[in-house]
Amino acid sequence: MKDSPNELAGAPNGFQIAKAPTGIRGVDEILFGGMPRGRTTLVAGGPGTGKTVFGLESLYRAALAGEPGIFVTFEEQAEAIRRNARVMGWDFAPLERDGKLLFIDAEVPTDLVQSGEFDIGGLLAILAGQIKALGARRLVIDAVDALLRIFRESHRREEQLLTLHDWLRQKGQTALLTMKNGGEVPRARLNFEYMADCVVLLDQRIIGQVATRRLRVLKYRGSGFLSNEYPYIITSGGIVLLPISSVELSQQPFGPKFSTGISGLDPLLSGGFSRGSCILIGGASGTGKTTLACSIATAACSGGERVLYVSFEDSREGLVSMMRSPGLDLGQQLEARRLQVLTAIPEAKGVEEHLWRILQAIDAHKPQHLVLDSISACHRMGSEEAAFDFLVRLLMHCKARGLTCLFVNQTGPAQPIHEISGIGISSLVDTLVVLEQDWPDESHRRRLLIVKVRGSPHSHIYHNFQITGQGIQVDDAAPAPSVRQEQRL
Amino acid sequence: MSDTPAMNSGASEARRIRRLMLFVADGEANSLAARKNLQKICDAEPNCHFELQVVNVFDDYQTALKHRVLVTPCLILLEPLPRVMVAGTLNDVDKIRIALRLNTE
Repeated sequence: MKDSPNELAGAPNGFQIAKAPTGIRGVDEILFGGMPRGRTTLVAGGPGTGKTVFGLESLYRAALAGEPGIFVTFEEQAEAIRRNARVMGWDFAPLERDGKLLFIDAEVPTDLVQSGEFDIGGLLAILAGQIKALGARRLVIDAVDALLRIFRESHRREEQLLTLHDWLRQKGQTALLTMKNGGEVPRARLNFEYMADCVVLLDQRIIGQVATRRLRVLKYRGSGFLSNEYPYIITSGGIVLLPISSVELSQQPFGPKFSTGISGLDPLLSGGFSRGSCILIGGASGTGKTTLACSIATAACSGGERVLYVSFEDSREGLVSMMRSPGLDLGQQLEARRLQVLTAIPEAKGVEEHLWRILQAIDAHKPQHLVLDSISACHRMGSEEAAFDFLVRLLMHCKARGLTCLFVNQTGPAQPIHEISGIGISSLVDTLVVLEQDWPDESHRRRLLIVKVRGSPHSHIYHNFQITGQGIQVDDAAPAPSVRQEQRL
Repeated sequence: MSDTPAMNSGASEARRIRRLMLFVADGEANSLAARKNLQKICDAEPNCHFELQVVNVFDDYQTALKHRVLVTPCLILLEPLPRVMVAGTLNDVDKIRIALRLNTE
């Protein structure tokens, strides 16, 4: 997860090239401000990676900001593009009316008879005329490979692409060309990667049956850029990148303590959990993890704070009814809009979609605390890698905003507590609470152990607790050694 | 690209007219060659009436846009239908004659 700015092309003598923002969430951060202004950017990728959306969104955002632009489409009809854009909530009609946006339908004829040499002079004349008429400063040429297919010899394709590139540069247009991967024109694309000032590669792959899209900047002449692969999603509002940076992961100071709402637990934690920290509650099924998480959430809500409860396990109604037995009234907090429960089925979406939905809920609900029940369910998003990716990025997002993260993790009965944090995120966990259970004398006994609390003294011994009709009650008395423990020894 | 027999029988007079548009980039070698080659083809067909409109795309990009002419030089047979588009210098006389359906007279 290295995330080093690429310094190779960084401004050696303080010279900064002019940037044209894409306006796409996350992309401008990676491109250190945007595309090279007055130069050509190539966006290449396979089918379904969102090349058209990328180009369209950059043009749309620029047009909204008052910078006129032209979209040239060789494959799709402009009307189909307009229709698809409406799904994203983009209405081009006012922009087209005001001369901020223009579509050029340049469908390549399939039955073109050829005799002797020709070149893209017609296209350039059309572009020149329309650029002048509109005062356009931005140009998106979508599926330029479709145009090149008119030319049968590969050297002619490369020649025409070079002509186009030189012409765009001479016109001072901030141009974005999209091109498919592979296909008939791979050589032209490779050559164009050398020509273009900025090359962005889009990629879609299937990891554990879940489609994941990634963006990578291949090169950027005259500018630095973030050189990692960045996951992105195409949402109902356009492309969203959620870049992760290991720099953000560095230790952030915790906020003050807040009460768990369980009178017997606060003293064991020197007053409660720290705000902005990551708390992991681990334990086998039936140990009371969800009850503990809901107790903490209810207490925070009762104090007037907001909690976002992300449940991969239970439905909202199920959770509310389950928590009636330990005397927790989630319904009241839901009604008061202090508690929001977001339910999802892990395998229903990819990591990006899940993350996006949660981040949107965070933006809308503005909670102080986030509960994720459970992180073990995240495996079902595709793979261990996907789950890790999801958790790390969610955690970083929360940490950057000072949100407390309460992760619930279900462990198998034979799993040692040291592995309890699961999915390799143990180093990111600030506080680890482990719940255990056994059945001595035919009674259900539960106990908890506070394994670690970063930056705070805490209890180091097991404490018995009960789930009563008035919530969780932690025993004051020093606990007896557990039966299971004795058996193991 | 073949007419139906019904059309052939009824429209034999009309088919002796060819409405053509030649899109050129003025001053460029390929475009000059296309004009010359087209002239030769037309001259060799005294029984056919050609209505030729030459469009310099640099002067009139809107007509090029209307006809979706992305390349130059480019010849379009407008009438009789079906429409045919030929790109290039038109150096292959036989090919052009077939495309303009001059051999079927």
